[in-house]
Amino acid sequence: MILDLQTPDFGIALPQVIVFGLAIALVLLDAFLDKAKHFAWLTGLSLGGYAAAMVALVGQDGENKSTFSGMFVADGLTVFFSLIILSAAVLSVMVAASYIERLEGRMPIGEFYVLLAFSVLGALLTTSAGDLIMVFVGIELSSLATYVLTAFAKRRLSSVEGALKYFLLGIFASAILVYGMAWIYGSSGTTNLDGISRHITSQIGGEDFREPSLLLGLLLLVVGLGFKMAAVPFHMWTPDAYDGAPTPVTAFMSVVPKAAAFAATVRVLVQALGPLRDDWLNLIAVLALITMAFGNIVAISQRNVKRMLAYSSIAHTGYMLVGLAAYQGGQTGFGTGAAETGDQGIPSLLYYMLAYTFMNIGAFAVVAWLQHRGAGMTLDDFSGLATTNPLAAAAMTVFMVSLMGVPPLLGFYAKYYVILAAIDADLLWLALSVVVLSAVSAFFYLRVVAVMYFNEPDVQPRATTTPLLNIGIAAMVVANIVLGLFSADLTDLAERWSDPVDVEAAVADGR
Amino acid sequence: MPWDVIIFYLIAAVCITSAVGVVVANNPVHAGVFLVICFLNIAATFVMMGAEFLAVVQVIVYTGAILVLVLFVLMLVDPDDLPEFHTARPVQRVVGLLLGAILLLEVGAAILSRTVTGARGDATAQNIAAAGGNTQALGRVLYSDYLLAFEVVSLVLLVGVIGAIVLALPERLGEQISITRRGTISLGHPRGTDAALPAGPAGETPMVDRETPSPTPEPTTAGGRTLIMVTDPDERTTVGTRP
Repeated sequence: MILDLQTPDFGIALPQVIVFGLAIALVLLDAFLDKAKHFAWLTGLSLGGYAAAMVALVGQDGENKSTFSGMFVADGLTVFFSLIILSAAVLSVMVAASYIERLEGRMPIGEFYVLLAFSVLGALLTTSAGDLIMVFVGIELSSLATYVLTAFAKRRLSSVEGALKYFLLGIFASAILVYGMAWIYGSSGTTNLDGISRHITSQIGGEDFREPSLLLGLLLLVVGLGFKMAAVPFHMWTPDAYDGAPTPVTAFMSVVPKAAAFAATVRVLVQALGPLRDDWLNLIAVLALITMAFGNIVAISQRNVKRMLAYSSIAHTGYMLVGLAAYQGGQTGFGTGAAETGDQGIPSLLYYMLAYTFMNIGAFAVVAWLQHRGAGMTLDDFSGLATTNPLAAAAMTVFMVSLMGVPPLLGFYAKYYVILAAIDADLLWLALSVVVLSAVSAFFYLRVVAVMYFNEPDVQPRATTTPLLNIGIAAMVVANIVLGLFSADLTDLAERWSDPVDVEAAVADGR
Repeated sequence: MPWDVIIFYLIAAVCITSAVGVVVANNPVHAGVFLVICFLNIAATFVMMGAEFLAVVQVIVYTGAILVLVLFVLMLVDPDDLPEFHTARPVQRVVGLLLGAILLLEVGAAILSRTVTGARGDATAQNIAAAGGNTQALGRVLYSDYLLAFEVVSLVLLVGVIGAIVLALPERLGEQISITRRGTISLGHPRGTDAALPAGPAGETPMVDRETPSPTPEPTTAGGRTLIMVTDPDERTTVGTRP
């Protein structure tokens, strides 16, 4: 018997293939390139590679196909999450380039870009997973690269400490995740996400149904994914890891691994465990509430801006979980026209994640900008920034106000859609807590603004030029102001998240 | 009771006992040896299930390679340097035990009361035999259905290698200093500590100020040999690398 190998359809996986090629090219160039050319070449290549992958996304949009025997799926969810991840990658490179090259005793820039590319690739593969195995492998690839990036400033003890905590708790979470997957596999006999959904539906037969083994699997999966997305009470690693990592890495890891975790959550909970919807919706709603409350309240007491932003990112995880808790689509998961059932939950989650990318990386970028100029990361280092550098202070103000969710800015639209989705799903208490906790968050976001505008500057900042970082910050400011106006286009794109993909036809077709 | 069932329970009992031993053992070397016993018994269960290839991989990769490496490392480390075990506060231990017991109960309840069974795959004895045995059947599946996952796992390993290099490579020492160091005794190139870096403002993580170069250390002589006192890990790392 000859092994029957089929050629996978690389065409529909073009963005992922480009990022893979970029990662390999970076490994090789890092080894063979003249040391003097490293910075310019590798930065340019990274930016170009991610931009090319974003262009290739246009071709992937609307394809709705699967390949690699159903392991890889290119549908609306893939496209939207890939857009988020690739935007975050481009912005991270812009924020990171000069930081890695100049600060903290010059970190090896080649390895930095390589690990960044692999982390992005892992996140992309998670979003396009059609199988539990790919969900797990993608998350692991993304996380493993991020663990190393966290420890990148290895001379600073806090960086190594944060990375160690992140690593130990992360692999612990992975073990829980894979244990949950094993339970789900044991109860359904397949690892294919649609297959799981079909098998569970056939076993349930439309009745109200409590199957302990499935519920245990569901619980373990939620715990494992909760760790990865930093939801309370699985957030313990977040403040130390975010604080310890070099600032651009913090910006990166507050978005990309989180996007991967959310993509995995949507894939697993909605696509595979859609039949258990009634069980996980309550779980997610409670998780969302405590995550929002904890993140916002603890952030108040932080004097270190980076730590404050870490808790704020926990709070934003909570807002996004509200979007997930407001899921109203059918029980059979994808391809059943969630748009017809009037589901706004997942589109609002997607939109929020995109908005969060521009707000959060922006805030960390300004912290990195200050570090370039010899300042630290405490609130006092921001004092009088409006006098010494009005533009940077204005940019920080935009990001803070946007994170808070004030009308003309992107953060407002994001919160608006989430609240709307929650109200639509009869989760009035959750919608109300989003509003109340946003008001609480005003305290610590506006404190930064107040310190910048009303305090006297302590020290004159050191003069340096950071062209790429400045361009990145400017781009994010523009995105925060302008992107809200194009909300209709973005939500249209987000609403196509559940476009049907006929995996079985593709497998039978030999792709 | 048929023999294979008795043997299975024997193996399972030894496996679980040694797994508990891994957690309970105070000496990490003992824990490592317990883990070897545990893995060997898991390999035995694989054989009983007819998965000979997995059994062999379990023995060669886990017991043979990884655990021996772990034991080597443990034996090379001074026992006094190892972290203290079981130093958690009593409350933490009680809560931890309680939560663990609850999880165990949940797992037990799920096993005993499950009604849903997974769909059977096509890996029947006949199909495996038709494919030419266990190993061939696995290989076929791995390189066709699970090709993408298989390739991505290899990327995970690549990232692991790169990460290990990044984190374990001492410092990017320039050629000059490596030449200098050949003829001298370096007084422990200090690295990886905050103390070696210039302290920043209070409460802030120290940052390295590359633009104000630290003073070049004066070579001193001790016992007739030249010593270089390296105080700041940054001062030599840029020599000979990027300008």
